[in-house]
Amino acid sequence: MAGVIGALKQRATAARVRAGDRQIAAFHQAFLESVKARGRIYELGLIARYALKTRRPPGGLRLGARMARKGKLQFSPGKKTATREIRQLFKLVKGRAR
Amino acid sequence: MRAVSYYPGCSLHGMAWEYDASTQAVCRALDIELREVADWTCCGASSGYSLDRSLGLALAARNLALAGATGDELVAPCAACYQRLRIARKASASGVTVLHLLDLLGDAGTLARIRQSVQRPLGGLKAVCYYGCLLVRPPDVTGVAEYEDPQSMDRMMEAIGAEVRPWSFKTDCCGAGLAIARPGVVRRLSGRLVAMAREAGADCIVTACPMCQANLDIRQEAQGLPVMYFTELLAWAMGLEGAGAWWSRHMVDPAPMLAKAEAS
Repeated sequence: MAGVIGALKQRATAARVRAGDRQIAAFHQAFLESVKARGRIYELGLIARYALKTRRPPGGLRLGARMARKGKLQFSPGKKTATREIRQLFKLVKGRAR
Repeated sequence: MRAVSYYPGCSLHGMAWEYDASTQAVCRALDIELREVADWTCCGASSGYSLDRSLGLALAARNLALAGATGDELVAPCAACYQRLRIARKASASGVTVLHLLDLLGDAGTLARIRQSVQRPLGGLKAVCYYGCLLVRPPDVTGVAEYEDPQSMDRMMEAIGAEVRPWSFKTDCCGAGLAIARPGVVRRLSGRLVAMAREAGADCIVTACPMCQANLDIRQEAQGLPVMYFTELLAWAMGLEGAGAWWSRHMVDPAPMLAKAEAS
């Protein structure tokens, strides 16, 4: 069942069908853009990217503050990893899809 | 000494730092060398798979190719990374065997060593083991025979003396994948799991996934049920240095629960 749903999502994305839930689609897009930009996910960066994409301020600010106090949030993104290679990989996959 | 390639994944270098630290501590104590894959990158997680199958496979496969340089076995502690790597392995010609940490530590010989290493038996601890939806399913990808009622984490908790409570929610979804886009849905799903764990008589929920742990721990309002990584409990029971320092990173403090378990 999960495989069928997954395949439908992939086909709908490839055919540029407008997502029924645009926030979920925006999250996936923001996630992959983050990977392309940094190689690895930087959690706060991903949230910021998602907020920009949905044009809404990040939700759960109180929860975020509690998590920050617990040391759960990293405020420095660290260094980028293999981004040139990852960008090439995105390009290669996109080229094959055409 | 056994040596394996290690793929920590993005979460263990971020929010789930204590899962990484406890994994490293337990493996060190059991004489297992974790060789971190150099220049590893994100596996693509659910987002890669959801939007583009080829991209999802390629992102995971890149790490498999790198892992081949450090060994034949690759260990991933994150359930999502583990599943993406297993799928890429199945779709590629890679000769690398992908293991979850539960596979690495769950064989009979290692379990016996864990049992022998226990310094603080957790006989008074009642736990439910939560596997989530990515660790054991689909069985043709994970190879787990008991995917309806998985047992590997249960056996590990029993090895350190904990009483594992039966419950029917081992593989129900906690909704972590929607944590940012649909927090309302996730609150309902995770809240139900915490309530059901309480009803099963558990003092804590034990997990083997950074997404599940964070999701179940941070969304509790007044339930106060600690959510632990299985490696944290192993490290604590084995008396490993640094174990107590991880509790401050939990939203629900597990220290009182562990003190009570040791005293009984």
